[in-house]
Amino acid sequence: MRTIKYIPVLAGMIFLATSCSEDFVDLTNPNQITTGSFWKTEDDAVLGTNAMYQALIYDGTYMRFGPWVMDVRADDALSTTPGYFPEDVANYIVDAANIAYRMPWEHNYVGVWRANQVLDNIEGIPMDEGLKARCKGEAYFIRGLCYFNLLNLFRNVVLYDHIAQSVDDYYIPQSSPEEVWQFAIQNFKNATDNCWTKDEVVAEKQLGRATKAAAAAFLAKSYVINHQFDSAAPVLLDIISTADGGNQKYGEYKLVDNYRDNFTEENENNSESIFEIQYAEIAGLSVQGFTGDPQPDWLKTDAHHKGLAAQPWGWGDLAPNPWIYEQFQLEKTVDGKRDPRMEASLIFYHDDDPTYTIYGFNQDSLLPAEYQPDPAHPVTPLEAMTFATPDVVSDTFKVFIRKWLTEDPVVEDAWLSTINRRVMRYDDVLLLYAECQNELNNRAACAKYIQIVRDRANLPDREAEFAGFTQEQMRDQIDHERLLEFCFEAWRYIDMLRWGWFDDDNPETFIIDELRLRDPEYLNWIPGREYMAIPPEEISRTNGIVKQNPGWN
Amino acid sequence: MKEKLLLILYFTGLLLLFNIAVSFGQGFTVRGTISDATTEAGLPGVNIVEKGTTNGTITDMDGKYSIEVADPSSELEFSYVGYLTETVRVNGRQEINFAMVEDIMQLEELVVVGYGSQRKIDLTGSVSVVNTENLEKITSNSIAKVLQGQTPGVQVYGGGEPGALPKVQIRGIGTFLNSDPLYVIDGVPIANVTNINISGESMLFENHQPGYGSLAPTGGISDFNPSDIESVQVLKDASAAAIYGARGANGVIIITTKRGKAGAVKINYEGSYGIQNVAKRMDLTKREQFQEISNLARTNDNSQPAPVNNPAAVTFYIDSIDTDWQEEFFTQGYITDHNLSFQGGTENSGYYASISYFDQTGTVVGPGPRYTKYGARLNLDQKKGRFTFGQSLSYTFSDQVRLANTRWNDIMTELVIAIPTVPVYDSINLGGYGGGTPFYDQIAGNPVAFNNLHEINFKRHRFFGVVFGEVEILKGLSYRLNLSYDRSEWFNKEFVPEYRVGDRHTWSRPMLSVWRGENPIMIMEHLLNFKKVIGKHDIAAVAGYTAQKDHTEDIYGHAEGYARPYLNKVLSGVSSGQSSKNRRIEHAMLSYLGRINYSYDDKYLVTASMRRDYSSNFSPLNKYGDFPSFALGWKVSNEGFFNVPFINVLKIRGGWGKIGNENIDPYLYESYVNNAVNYIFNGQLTPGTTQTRAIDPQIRWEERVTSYAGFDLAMWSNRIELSAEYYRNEANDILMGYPLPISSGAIAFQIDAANVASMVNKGVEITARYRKFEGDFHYEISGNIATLKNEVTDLGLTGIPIETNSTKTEVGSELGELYGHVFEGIFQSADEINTVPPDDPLFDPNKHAYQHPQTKPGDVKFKDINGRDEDGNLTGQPDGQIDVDDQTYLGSPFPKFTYGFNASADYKGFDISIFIQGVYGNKVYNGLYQVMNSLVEGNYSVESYENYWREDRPSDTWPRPTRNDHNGNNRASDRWIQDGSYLKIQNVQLGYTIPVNILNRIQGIGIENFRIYLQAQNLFSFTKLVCYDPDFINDRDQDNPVSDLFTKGVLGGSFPSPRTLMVGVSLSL
Repeated sequence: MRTIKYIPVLAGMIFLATSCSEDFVDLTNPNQITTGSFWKTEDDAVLGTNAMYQALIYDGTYMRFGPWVMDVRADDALSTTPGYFPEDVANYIVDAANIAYRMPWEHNYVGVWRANQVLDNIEGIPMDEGLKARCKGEAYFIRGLCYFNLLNLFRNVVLYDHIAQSVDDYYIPQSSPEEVWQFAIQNFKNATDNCWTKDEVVAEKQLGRATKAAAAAFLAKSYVINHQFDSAAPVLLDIISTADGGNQKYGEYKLVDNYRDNFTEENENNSESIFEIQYAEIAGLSVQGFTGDPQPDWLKTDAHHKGLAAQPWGWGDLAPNPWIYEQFQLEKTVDGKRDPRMEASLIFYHDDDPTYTIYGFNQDSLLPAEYQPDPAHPVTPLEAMTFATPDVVSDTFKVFIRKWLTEDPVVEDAWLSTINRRVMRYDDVLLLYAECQNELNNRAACAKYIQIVRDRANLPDREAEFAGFTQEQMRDQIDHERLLEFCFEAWRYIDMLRWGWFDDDNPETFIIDELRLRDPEYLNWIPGREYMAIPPEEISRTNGIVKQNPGWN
Repeated sequence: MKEKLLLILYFTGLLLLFNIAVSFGQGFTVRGTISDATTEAGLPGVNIVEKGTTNGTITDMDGKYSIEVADPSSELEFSYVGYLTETVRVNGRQEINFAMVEDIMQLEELVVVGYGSQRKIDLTGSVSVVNTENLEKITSNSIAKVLQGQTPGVQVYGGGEPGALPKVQIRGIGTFLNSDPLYVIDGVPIANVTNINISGESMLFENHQPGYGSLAPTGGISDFNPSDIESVQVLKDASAAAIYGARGANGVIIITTKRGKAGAVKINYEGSYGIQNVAKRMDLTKREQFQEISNLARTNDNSQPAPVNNPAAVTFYIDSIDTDWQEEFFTQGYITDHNLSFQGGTENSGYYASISYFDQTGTVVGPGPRYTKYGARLNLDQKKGRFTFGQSLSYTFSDQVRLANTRWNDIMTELVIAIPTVPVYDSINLGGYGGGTPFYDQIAGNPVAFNNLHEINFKRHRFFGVVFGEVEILKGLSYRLNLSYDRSEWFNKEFVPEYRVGDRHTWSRPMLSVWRGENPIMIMEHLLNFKKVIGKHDIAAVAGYTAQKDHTEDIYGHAEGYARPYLNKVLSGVSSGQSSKNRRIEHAMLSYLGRINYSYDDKYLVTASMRRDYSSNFSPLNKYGDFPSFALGWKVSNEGFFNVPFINVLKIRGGWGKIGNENIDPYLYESYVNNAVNYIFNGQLTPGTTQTRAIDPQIRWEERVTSYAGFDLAMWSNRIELSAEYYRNEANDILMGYPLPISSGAIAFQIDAANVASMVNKGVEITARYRKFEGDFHYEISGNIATLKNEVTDLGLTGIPIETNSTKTEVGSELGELYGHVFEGIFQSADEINTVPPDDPLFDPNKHAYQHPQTKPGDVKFKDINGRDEDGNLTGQPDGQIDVDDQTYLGSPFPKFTYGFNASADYKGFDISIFIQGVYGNKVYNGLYQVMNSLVEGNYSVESYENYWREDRPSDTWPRPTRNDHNGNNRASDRWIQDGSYLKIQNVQLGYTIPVNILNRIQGIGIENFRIYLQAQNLFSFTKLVCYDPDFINDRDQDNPVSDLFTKGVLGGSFPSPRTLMVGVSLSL
């Protein structure tokens, strides 16, 4: 019976043993907001919608590689880089380490996932219906835009129309390009229906959001790329202002007087801009967020300009093809001057302006000795666009693209360019509409819209002459007009693709030999490689479920 | 323990003596003295029994006895705890003197096996008892390091840098997570060493730093003083470790610290002092040789020699500087170790107290690396009646100045590539160190500068306390409560001044980062112990309930823009680079455990255990796991039929069990949103929130199923001992980052943790020992050998191999097998390049280049092994083109076997010991050799200087220098694969113990024991590996501990262990 006195001990022990139950181990994460507690309120819906846009300023979307890989493969720009990423892209070579292939694939899909999160979660959120429509419209736009980019870059892509529910959902094969284009077009249609108009965006101080016009413009461009000109024309006409004979359905857009205003800090979100990537310098942010999980200290600035700026100010990744210097010289303005778009697009030797400076250096001080212009002869394109760097050690020559460049030299480790990137402009709408009219055999209408764009550049009125062109002549003229209007803006290569220049099945449009004369980087092109290689890592990650593009195996 | 038993036996023996004396009073009388075979002193309390009767006696205080036996032909059995029992036939002798031999198997020795202890002879699981005498001979800051080579199946790597934490692996790697074993100290599982990434995405140093690796905020086992150790047991398989359930997957190392002993206070002092040097040097080129290669590397690529290397560029050419970086960088280091302890107690209480000081300076110039550790311990025991109480309290403070790494490389790599034309010091440069100018035209580093300029100071406090109380409820049944508190605190401070070490190594943002954190762990354990002997049945059981709660909370601050002179390096910078962060990680566990040990007739042994663990690291759906085990033992030598006279013990044992691993980052089962996904609207920063990472909510425990079989043998009066085991460990549901398609849109395109992989490890472990213990000359030799075969059996849904630059892990292969191209020779001419390989009909020079369009004579020719068909599938046939498909298996990073060998001897006060350890049969991808021999940039090896290809000196083994290396001469290939076998003389010690009679003469303070010794640690390595130390940890990607697993056979710039020469003294009063 002596053991009786230990009963309290035993009881105490049992009490202690059971005082913690199994929910002792149910802990909540104090550092993060869990997904389960998000997507509940109107604020959550707006926050989730905002987050999609950040996907547009990753390395592979608009911040650097996205436009870069388009420009470097087009005939208006050459790779002059010391690094092999763009050099290999320009020369149609791929290897697994080349992130210039991976980043655009990766980051456009980040946009797709974020848009799918909005679209899959927003229906259950009790909120203002107008705001809900806007959020959905923007999600449709971002998803459409990312697929638009993926299709133009890679053509054969994987279609995610919802967020994955299980690991297996990630391992799906590519869909046909036709099916994905149809998906992108449907997204742009839905976005056109749901987004705000430009006026609403301005009134609500939400500049930068996708608008009805932006969605409609990409919808029309998708049609044009797929040669559906009859579908594209009315969509474009809805955007065109009444002053230019359009329906002006989504608010008024018009060309700015000065073409250069499309590439400067001062004139952002102007009347010509339809969709624009927003950059700004914000105090306290210090890290260029190329890729990875966004951090609070990530800059909201562009890095593309650093690749464009010549060494030693930048990396000199890209340079204009000297051929384009001649294209700009073909026509003078009505008052006998250079096309103003040349000044806005290129940095070149001004033989008529001895005071011309580049980042504060007089142009003569940068001219290599062997290129000192001979007064007896006109400056050749190569001479006009070749400068020595002011670095006494290095004797490499670099040439300049001016579009997107800040006027200040790019200093070491500074990525800051806060110039917004105008992705879609009204001039494109006008020229696309002109092209549709040519394809639909309305030469006069085509000539009219071409001339509207030429007028802004102060070029002679040749509307009547153009109206008399054959369809084929007009196509050549449109090629020329678009080249001068959109060089180094990542559109040129998409134009070259849709015009069939690499289509070896179509001898009428296939002009690879001509391109090779213009730009030796096409020597390595083989059929199929006009589209980017699917990043080799993706093939291995999916163990072959995702297939490599033709021409790249 | 032994003393206590002795006392008890003594008194019970005395009682017996009286009884016997009364009962029997006639017959034949035998007398004699029983002595210890080693010391020759008389043994009191030895049991003497006339065989087959209950007639017996014990020896007196001098070992003398007297016994009356029935007749002169009787047999006498002598037995004594800790000694071998012997039977002697009287044969009419009246005096029998007998020397008893100590039972070195110490069969009665109790071994701590987790939540209880067992007689060593009764062990059924795979448990190694480490010989602590051997451990005491090695001076190190870490218990982990001294375990190297002592026990088969326990591998210890690296740890050369003062304060570094060596990696310990038990029976290979069974997880892609942290593979450190669980350490249990005085019954309490302690925190794992968890590296917190300080440059990863988690929080710290992002884009700020010139590049450091990760830090381990808790020092794990290294915070405990090796001198305080009483015993070390290693539980290697699940049948032993399953009682630790979810934490036992990597094996368990159980450490018990010294406790008080009844008797007067005993004071012990041990001290040692030594000098340390890195003995090894790489054979690198001097200025002229370097300039010759450097110039050729440029002219071969059609560019100009760098002005500093070009005699024609008169004003720039350098011919007056010829820096030997190794001589400038390495210096002598010092190691000091002092331990002072007090031990004593009464019958009902005991105490052990110690203080210690350890200081080790680095073997390179600069403030770091240096490691200083101060420790104190107090262990107390109190007993009253049925109640027992006890405490183990320890505190350690360590102050570590870290070795600096540079922006580009680890510092050892930086050392071998540092070029001789750069001066060490240059007062023109801000900071005072030499560096390259643009006229050097290459990245010229200065390891001396980096290690002096970057200040990294890491301080750690560790408090560890256990309080327990035990009550005997009934006879054989007791209840025990353990409460423990284990607290780590750390403070890391890093300062980088503004400096200019040449044009490529300038730093213009003087910056300070501080990181402070705490990691307290609280554990409560309730245990019920039951022990009962019923006839031939011997039962011991334990049941318990434990709960643990711990958290890590840290804060980080960073500021830039300090003005010279940097007086107050506190967080008061002024630039835009300021940031601060705070984080808290919580973790909880709850467990029920039970074990039963049963033996029948001391012949058949059964152990069964069960544990259920609940962990906060998994979702409520998967939060618990059950971990059962059982083991069997059969003492064959105790069977009646067993009659092999020279075999003392033969035991066969085997077991099976399941253990788990929950040691992952917390919260990985739950997706979360990132609220920093911001964008600009209307010129304003506008917040955005979205999910950016993919997770798998279904994650669950990693599971390890192990089985083993083995035997223990003791022969010839236990002079020879032999143990052998075969084991098979199957690791399932291994958690790893699961690769998703890039198109998933998830950051890093992976699920951070999913139960994906499976692996099997199997091997054989053998230990053997021989001891001669009679006479004046004693010696002992022991050795152990272990094999390990690893196979990855599953890598998930897609089975995608895990590839690094030089390794590949795929299903059916080993973890991190070496992988790359196969060297086939050197292209001797342009013709050869255009026609090679001549027998390859697929090669068409017009279609594509064999290797690269710019391949030139003198470049390496790699072997064409594989190609692809039109569908992109591998054909296994050459395709006339060298590309990634031509990479192949280049060797195993796993040794065929690892071994350790100890020998010791003593003669009249002199003692000598040697410890050898090594690995055999593994291949190493030698990254250090690669950078020395790549003939691209940096300094070069003399070997490459003497052999490189030149048109007038063709070679078929060494390529030409080329700076751009278009051909990829230096790609991962068997050019860099070397035999990783090594044999290391880890320790040689010569000691002398001053005889007691001399001590008595010279002292008046009662010195009981005084020993002095000379010692050499890491004396010499025999190896073919070209490196500073063949015992390395892959340091290539310190930020990512997981990647180390997949590149374990890749030697980077691991900091070498120095050669140490020491003198030491141990003294007891």
